[in-house]
Amino acid sequence: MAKKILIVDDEIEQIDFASTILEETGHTLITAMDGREGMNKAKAEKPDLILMDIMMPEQGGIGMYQNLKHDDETKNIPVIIVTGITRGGGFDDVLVRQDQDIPAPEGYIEKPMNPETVLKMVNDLLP
Amino acid sequence: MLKILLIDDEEPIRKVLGLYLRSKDYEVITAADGREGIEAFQQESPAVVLTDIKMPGMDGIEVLKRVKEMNPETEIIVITGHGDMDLAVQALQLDASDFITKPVDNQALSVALKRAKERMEIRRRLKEYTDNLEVMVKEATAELQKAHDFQTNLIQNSIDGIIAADEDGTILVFNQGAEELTGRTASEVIGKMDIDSIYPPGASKTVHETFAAEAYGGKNRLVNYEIPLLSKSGKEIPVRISGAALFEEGRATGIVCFFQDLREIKRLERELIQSERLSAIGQAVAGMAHYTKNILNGLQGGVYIVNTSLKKNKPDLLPKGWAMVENNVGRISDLVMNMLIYSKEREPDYVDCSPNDIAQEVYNLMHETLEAEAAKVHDLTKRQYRVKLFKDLDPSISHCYMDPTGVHRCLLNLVTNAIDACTLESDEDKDFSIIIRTRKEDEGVRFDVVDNGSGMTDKVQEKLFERFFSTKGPKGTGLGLLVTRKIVDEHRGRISFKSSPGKGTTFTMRFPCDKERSGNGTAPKS
Repeated sequence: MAKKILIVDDEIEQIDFASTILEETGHTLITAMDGREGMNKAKAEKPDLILMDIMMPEQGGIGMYQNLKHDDETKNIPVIIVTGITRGGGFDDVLVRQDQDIPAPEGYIEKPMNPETVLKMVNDLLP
Repeated sequence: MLKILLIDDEEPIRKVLGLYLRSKDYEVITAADGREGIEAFQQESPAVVLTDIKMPGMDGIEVLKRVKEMNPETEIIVITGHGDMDLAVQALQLDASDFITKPVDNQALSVALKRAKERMEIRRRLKEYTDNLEVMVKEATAELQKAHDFQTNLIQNSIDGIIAADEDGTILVFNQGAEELTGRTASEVIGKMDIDSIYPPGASKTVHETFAAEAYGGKNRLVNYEIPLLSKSGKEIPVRISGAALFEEGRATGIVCFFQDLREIKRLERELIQSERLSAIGQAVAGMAHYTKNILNGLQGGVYIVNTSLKKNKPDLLPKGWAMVENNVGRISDLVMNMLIYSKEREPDYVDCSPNDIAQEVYNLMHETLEAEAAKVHDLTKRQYRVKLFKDLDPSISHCYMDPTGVHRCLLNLVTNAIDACTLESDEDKDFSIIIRTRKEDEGVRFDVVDNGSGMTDKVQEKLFERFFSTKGPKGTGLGLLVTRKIVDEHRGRISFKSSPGKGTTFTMRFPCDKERSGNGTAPKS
């Protein structure tokens, strides 16, 4: 059954790249270009999965993730974080320091994105 | 007890005077004539001789002459007869101390003797003083010698090179330090070489000028001025020179200079620069890795989309994927160009060109990029793209002598930053505009890049020109502004900015326009 995936990235190329990869899955793809729009669409469209960039304007990525996880309507949507920052030294630390209660995201994808890894992770999270 | 020889041919006089003198505590020897007197003198060496002038045989004048011959310091008082003034004068001319007349008055004799004793005392003191003086002179000379030796040692063994020259410039002092610095020996230099010839050609003129000027320690002085010396083998030795022109009663008499060897310091400086460069490279590599990862991601995305298009026969994907490849190849080439410009010392490639044309080119290029971006955003989100580019070019600017490629890159970097300042700004519904402005100025031309984007906090402004500082995370390298400033510096121009958070930023570059000011010489040292 077709599910809905929200792709959030401030770079059009990145959205194009992710969309092309995920088109294969047959799921419905919706996009947003900054944190605020992403949050709005998450609430309005109730996607089954969110693939989001963390380095968006200002606090965009981290702010949106926090909002998602603190909002009852969206906190159960699995999130895959796309980041250029190497895992371990980056995102986790920033999140934990800012917000002790926040759970870790369901998946990390490091740039440059490997399409197979993305597909496998999405398929695992959307059975 | 003072010894007196009394010579008189008249016995009663000898007796009377003898008695009187002995009563006055003198030791008295008597002689009855000149010859006897001389003999007595030779034997007894009296200090005072009292002699009659008119005597048979050897007279008093003769006695006087002989005694003075034997001991010129002997006090001789002659006794003359009444009216023998001529003889008295003759005796005084022959260096008699005094004369008394017959009949001898005791009081006159006492006065004569007293004066004789005074003269003897003066002579004694004079002699003593002279002897002392000799000792004192000897001692003073030894002191002076010691001080002189000490100073010579000090000069000779000073680690600094010390060179002094007379008013003609001939070298007079050339110590070991100077020998070590220049590789010349004192003997081949002192009195033979001119002080100007220790500098490389042309440098001595600079030294003279600096001496005459106020800048380094005042007129006729030189304090901590850096210049090379020329060694015997023709090598330039970096030194720090301090010196003074010497004057005596307002007249120039020479010059003395101290040279501190800077070779070791320069070597350490080079090492420091080298290690700073290495650490900068480390920083740069880390920043660059993130940035290139981002580009690589874009390239892989493009390639993936092209492949998908070909494999799955989706021709509509092809232009999108190819554009992505092209775009990221462009980013890589920009990065490489910036890296090359930053890493190399270079002179601008000056050409007579139009600043407005450069601004127009950058406008066209970035306008096109923004249009394409706007179309894509609209396509994807149905939203209006909020960044617009404008130009405001001063038509009174004609030609300028500058490196068009370099200035193009500066403007491109500033406009790219301005676009980022707008798009990286949080998601307010604000319309952003960027203006490329040119203005003619008295001394050249001015470029402004004005945006109403996010602006910069004080903290960001402080770090702005630091190496590889970026607010864009992996989307920036921190190279853009560094390269821009470097190019502006190489043009002997100036770059400045005004910014306030939330309101926007204006960057201003000023370039000199004419050939002379923009410089055909070497690049300014930073």
